[in-house]
Amino acid sequence: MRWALGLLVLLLAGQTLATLLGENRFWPFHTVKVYTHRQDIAEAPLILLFVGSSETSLVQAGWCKEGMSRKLGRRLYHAQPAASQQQMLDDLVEFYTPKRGTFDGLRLYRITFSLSEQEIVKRELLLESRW
Amino acid sequence: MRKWLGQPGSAFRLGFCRLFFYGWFLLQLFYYQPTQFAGLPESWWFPVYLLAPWGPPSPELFFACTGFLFVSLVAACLGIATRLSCFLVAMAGTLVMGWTNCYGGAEFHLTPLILTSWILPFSACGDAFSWDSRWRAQGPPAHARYGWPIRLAWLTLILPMVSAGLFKVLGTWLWQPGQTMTSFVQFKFLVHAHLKGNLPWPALARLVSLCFLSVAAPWPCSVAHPGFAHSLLGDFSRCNYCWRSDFLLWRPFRGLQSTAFGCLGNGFSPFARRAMEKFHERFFFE
Repeated sequence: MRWALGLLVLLLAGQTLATLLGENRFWPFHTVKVYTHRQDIAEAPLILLFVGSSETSLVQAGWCKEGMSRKLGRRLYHAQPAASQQQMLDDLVEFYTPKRGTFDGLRLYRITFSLSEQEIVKRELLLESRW
Repeated sequence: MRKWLGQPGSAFRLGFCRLFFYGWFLLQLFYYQPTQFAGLPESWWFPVYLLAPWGPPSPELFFACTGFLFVSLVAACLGIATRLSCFLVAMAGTLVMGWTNCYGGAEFHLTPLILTSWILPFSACGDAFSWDSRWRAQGPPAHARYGWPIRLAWLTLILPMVSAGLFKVLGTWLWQPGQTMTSFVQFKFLVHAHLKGNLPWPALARLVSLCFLSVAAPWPCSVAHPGFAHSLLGDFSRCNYCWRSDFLLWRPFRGLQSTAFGCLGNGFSPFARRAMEKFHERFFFE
């Protein structure tokens, strides 16, 4: 009984410590969300650079690392209120102005995947911001 | 608990763990490149509780703290002014890595790194295998003060894994292991690879569709994750086996981060002790 109680206290203490730098401010493991995914359809946000009709990711353009690109995409996609999303993308465009080069601007897409077919089934343009 | 933490440990082993840990932290610094977040607009700031009161850092402060962190890490790794440099790493590391978690999703890989960095400054980790000890071959005799930091580091590495493992197994894997696992692998392979902008090995695409994966993979994983909890009750080597089994199952689908995370666990494990003893014998006693 004392062991069980001790283990429970340790678990709670560990969890509390781990959440200090947490993902959703209460549970730090986004793998939990991924592991519990059972649907065939999955959605993910993606920020892309565009010039004319061609597009490339921030990572491929060498503007940031993959981890940061994913963070930015998720942050923008889940931003509340939704009305602030355009302002955030405009701010991001301004932030990257020194790296602009020949690019026209940034776009936020929602990509819908079919896991069983292993392909993208839908690609929706949600936001766009230009230099 | 007091008895468990109070067991005597080797100064040399603790020193080796210190060097391994801060060396690994340095690699993480290069991998994450936190300064790429410096100067992000204020509208993107979404702070974690710990850093919310201070607001977003200025770019100058971000660069200064990262530089400070780098210098402190090198010093802590080599054991130069060890206690001071370890404290500076803990403070600068929490700030810099914490800031990167305030612009979107948090990297859970950073959590044990930051938590462990707050243990070593309170330990005597510079008594051996360091510049401060002049790299002497003979360290001080075994003592409890060299044992508890390593055991406490085990806890910070194990507890998050136990929490997540129990959640996964009790939440989904136990009831629908095949379906959940296949779905996860497909998600990991397709969605993550696309977001990264490059696809992993083409052979993996075929592997994902193999039915053995959905049958064979979930069960060892379901055993491995609660195994972390089991290791809390005894020797850390049990946890080490869990890590290895997890590693073998998931390595093809995971990146460098997860692999290195497992290595970090190994760094404080009996595996590191054996490697360290061999190193000690080879370079100091021959």
